[in-house]
Amino acid sequence: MLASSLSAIVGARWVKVRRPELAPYDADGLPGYRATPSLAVLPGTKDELIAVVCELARQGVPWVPRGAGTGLSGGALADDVVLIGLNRLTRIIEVDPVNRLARVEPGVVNAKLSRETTRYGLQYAPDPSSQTVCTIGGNVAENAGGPHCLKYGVTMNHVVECEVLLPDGTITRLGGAYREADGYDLLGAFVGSEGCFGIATEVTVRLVPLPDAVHTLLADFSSVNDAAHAVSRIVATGIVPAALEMMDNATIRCVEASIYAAGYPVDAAAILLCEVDGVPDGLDDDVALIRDACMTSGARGVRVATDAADRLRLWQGRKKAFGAMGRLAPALVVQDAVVPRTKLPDVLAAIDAIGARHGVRVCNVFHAGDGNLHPNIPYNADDADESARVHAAMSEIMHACVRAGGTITGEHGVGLDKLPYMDSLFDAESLDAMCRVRSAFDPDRRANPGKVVPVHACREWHGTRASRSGARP
Amino acid sequence: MSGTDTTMITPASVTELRDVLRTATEPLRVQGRGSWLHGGGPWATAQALSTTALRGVVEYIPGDLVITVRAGTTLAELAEVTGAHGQMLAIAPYATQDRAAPGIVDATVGAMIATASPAPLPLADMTARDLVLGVQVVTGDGAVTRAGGRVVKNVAGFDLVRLHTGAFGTLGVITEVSLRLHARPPHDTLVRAPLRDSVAEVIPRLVMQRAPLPMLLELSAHDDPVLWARCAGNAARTSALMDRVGAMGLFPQHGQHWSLREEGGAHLDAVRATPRNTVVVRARMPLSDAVPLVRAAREVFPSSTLRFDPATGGLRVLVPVAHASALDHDIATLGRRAAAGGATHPISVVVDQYRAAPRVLTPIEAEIKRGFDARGILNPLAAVPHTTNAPTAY
Repeated sequence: MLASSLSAIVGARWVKVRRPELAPYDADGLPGYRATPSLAVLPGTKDELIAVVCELARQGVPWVPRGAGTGLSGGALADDVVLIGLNRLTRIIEVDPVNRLARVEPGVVNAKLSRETTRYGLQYAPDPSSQTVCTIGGNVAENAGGPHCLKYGVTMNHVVECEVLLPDGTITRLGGAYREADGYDLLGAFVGSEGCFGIATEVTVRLVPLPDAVHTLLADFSSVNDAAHAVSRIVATGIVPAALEMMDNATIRCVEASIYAAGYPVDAAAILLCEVDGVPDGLDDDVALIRDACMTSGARGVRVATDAADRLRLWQGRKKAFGAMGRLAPALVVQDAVVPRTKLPDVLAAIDAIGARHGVRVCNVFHAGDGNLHPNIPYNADDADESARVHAAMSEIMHACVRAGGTITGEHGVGLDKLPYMDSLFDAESLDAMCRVRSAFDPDRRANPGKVVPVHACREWHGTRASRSGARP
Repeated sequence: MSGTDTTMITPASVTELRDVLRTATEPLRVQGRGSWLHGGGPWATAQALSTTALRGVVEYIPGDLVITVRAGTTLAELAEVTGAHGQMLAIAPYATQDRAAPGIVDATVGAMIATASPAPLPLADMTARDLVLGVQVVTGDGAVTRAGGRVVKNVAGFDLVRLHTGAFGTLGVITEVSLRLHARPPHDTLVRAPLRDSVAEVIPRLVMQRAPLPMLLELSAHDDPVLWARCAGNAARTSALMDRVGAMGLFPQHGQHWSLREEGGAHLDAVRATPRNTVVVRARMPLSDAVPLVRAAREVFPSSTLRFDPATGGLRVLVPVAHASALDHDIATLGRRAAAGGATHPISVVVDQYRAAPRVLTPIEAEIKRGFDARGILNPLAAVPHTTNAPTAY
């Protein structure tokens, strides 16, 4: 039996087979989707992980890797297949402050890595809102973003090397921390592959110096449209803010009514949270320019955080906004889409109209500087009628973003939730090209089956692995 | 070995290109303006196929800071279009010196992405890989595909954009590229100053500095070492960054600086220029090994120009063809001497022009190649590894 052969590798207590034990793995923050794995296995070391994947290869069993399960797109759900939990692989193997690199196991929590590197004056820049729980391995799988990716780039821009366990049980290294680029950028293809290409057993990331100075501004608008125009004005100044976030009135009220109250003006139609950082010289001038851009766009006022505690409070409200929305209704669908920045005013107006038409309440809190929207809808998932309206509204919002020249996900991944929209973004030949790359990594399609690319998009072509031996014993 | 031997095929549309690929029975050598034909090889001789007729802007909305151009559009054309709106590409890649005129060959956008061209003194720490948002590619099998998109953040589907970037056209012909642009900073100053302190003293300061300050240390056979730097931003920041450059151990009174918004462009072109008849050796070690690496390279390649990038630890050695007759031996010596000088990591070396033997594809790479170009018609590698690595003139 599979359970007993896996227990022999990791120990019986780390193989979960009973329903109550599997319950924690049946969701990943996306309401409306539940799937229970046939079994969950939690290896405690890299060697155990390799042995587990080899055993699954030997038995031809499909599996889904999982970090913290905060992906929000259904990508980490395992529907009656094996789930491999990576949360026990939490070692920070090495921090090299001179070369500004860190090598970690996949289960290391994002915020912990930054905390551990602060003492060297360094940080791991990508900062998803779930950073206090999400893992580096999950970040790599999703090519995760975060507010500060506007200036610093997303996960892909920070991962320099991965040791990867392929679905057939072999280990390979992609990229290279000190290597001159040569050959195909397989690391670039691997980052964001949503667990379909294999499991990163070791991840080497760049660390960046903590900025010498930081200024955080809060601009207060009486119309969403004005705030959206201010975003364009700020981007046009040539200043690349470290972060440029927008929150609408519905979100502001949620935050202010919660324990994360940040002192946001509750009567504002929208606020912008804008941060500039770097060398201290010239930052005041940047702040003045951004303030002007906001005031010219119709801001009621702009306030600059006075100290670190004030700044932290402003950010806490932003980062915990999703949690705060949890107060409104039992379920919250957190969406993710990107539009060209000049389309923000139009698309925000369209989202508002779509919400009104379907009688659902859309709360917007998002990375405005990147055009990366997060329209969120709190609702009661047990109410079939409301669930249907939410689903219809979300679908319309997605199509509105695609029509505006945007994309269906900026940082959460396709997973299960976005599969139906892939055809609206890519034609058959483009989707088929994706399938071919997947087959090169996983010819048997056992890693995270049924995710990212609709199955119907893959033609009869199947990769063969002439030059690589089959699964290890 | 030459990349061109017969009349060039120059498709005027994507459909035409697709038909060429679908009906091709012989291998094709894909190129832009043909200035970097020996990069990534060695390639087999094949019918030349140029993208230069696929030219022009497809979409440019300045407010989005994103432009989509056809692959044959040149970097100068891109700069002109974006410059009119106060915008620019954050990188200006290394380029081959022009054969006829002074200056460098104006390479195509498609070639920049296909070769993932490295660039000196990039703005905001950017590389070609970071700036490309989407591509249209006609695969070797004649499938017209798209990857990525026209927005700055995008994780819809597998990242084939990164896969085609730096694939040297072996998976498909890039026909269209969407790029992220940057607004031109109000001040963008190119600084050049000779070193006062020794190279061994200056390098640790360069690699330890924390500001966003692109720099390049240039050591040539005949002149004294100089430091190049790019100080960009508003007036106060630019001036502060210039002070930081001065503190690296230079002769500031002998230094010069130019605005890259004006006459500085020609000086940046001089840094970008790779002379003809040059073998480019890219060597890399961790930053902590920079001093032994650069020192060893000076000993092993005394007649070559060296350019060291303290942000990446990458060293670019421009070896004149006349001095490249024993390149394998010299590269081995470089690694050995760096280690003897205290380097703690093995050296990584890629020869950009005239590499001796084809790189062997890993099993995954071979599968991907088969999936995109089953007949192997795009840029086939030279079948037989050269027995000698002595390059010929070009």
